[in-house]
Amino acid sequence: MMMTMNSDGKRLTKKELTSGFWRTFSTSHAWHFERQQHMAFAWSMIPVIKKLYDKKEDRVAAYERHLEFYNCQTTMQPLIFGITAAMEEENANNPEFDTSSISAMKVALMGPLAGIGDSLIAGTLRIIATGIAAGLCLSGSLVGPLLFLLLYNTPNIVLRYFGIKYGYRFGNTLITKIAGTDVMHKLTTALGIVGLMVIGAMVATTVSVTTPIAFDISGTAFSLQETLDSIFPRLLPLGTVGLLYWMNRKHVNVLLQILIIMAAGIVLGALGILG
Amino acid sequence: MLQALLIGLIVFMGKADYFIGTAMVGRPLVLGPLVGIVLGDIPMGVKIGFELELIFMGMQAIGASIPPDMIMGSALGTAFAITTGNGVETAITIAMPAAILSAFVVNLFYGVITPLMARSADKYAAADNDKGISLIFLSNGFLFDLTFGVIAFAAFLFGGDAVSALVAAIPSWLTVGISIAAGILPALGFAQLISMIISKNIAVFFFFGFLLSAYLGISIVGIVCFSIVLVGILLMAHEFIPSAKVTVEGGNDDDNEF
Repeated sequence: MMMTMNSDGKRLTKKELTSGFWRTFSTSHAWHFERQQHMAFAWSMIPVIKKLYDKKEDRVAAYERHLEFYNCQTTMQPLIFGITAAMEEENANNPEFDTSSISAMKVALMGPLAGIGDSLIAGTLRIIATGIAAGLCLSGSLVGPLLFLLLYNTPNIVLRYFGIKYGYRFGNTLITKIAGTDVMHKLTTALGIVGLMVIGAMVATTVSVTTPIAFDISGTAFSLQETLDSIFPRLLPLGTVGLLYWMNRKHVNVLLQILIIMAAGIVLGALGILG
Repeated sequence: MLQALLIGLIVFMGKADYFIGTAMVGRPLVLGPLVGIVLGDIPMGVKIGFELELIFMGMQAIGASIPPDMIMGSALGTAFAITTGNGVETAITIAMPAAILSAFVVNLFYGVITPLMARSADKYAAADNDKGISLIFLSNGFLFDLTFGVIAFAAFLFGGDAVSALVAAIPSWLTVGISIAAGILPALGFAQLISMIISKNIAVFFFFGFLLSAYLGISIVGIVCFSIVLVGILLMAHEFIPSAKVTVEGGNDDDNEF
């Protein structure tokens, strides 16, 4: 480990990290197909780069480095920012440092962390927050959406804070250590279990598919829906989700699926099969 | 006019959610109530917002796939449902075409306008001009947000009569069909979410959550608590039953541990 700790060593201060904390909120702004979140990343790095590099060519190289392709899940962004800042700091003080390792680290981490962020934030946290707020929303209370925002954003902001703190402090070592064990796998599995159970319960409570089919059997009224409910409640919503899941697996276009649902509602409703 | 401006502002804010940490203020669940406040019918806004939330639930930009624009769709859908005095069927009838049309404009930015502006950011980087990079990033991002705000403003201001006429012309069989579809559409969102997080070995927990709710009527908060305890039980099973570890994780892992 080459660490030149000479007197004029360049160190980041709380100021640049605080600025990075706020700037990484903007991760998905100005997104585009070609290089995705690259401009937001470069924008968040500007205070760090200006603090660390005195020479123009070093700054230009750093700006260009961080305008390369980049895409991650936004809540995970401060963690990668923190690690990047630590590596840039090392680069500013160590002439032997290979800058390509910074880009390599970003590319190596953005995929797995996006996967964790998507399952943790989009797949679990958002759904739990929506599920808990559901009752209040259905009754038309403004408390519902406020509760949703609070439940979602408290962990969202706490994760951002710890991401930047530990990302900078431990640099590259901590994450590569964790990524090598099965801790990541256990974490995503545990989150998957919680998320799937909540989705299962929400399918039972919020999807509405019922049938009005009824007829007389030798004078006794028979309602298909009541019979279904007594044997297997919410069977029709479950079957519908199963069918649509199968279509997703077959990569049927989402717009086509919406049109199919609209057509099914109109046709099966007119025929008296659903209602 | 003021209402149209505020509707435009709501859409602008929903789009700018990406600037403030993707705090979910762009979800139908939040936009519906905001539209409700502007148009003076909060309970209706909250209810419609939630119904639309269920439909758009699975639609979140993951990677490079661009779904229908739920922000434009839910803001205009809720707005016109309230002004025409109709319910959630009208909201969906308006929201879907609006969301699909708006997605074309989204693609225009993502595919043409923003990549072109990013070229200027490259030039500023080569010239060591950090203010130039900031300028391109901020102006492009907010130009995007503003564009949709203006579209929503214009659509609400000039589209009202057309939408009223349209809603009045809808035959009852179509209204019935759309209300049935409204019940089914949340299933699409859930199916997308399941596709996103499921793997073979945890699929059974989806059914467990479903059955707990369908047969026992346990609330969502209850389901969350049960699922966390269940994760704890599964972790404990590893501690207490050594043979379970072999069957679950295979032999290699054991060799490392002992």
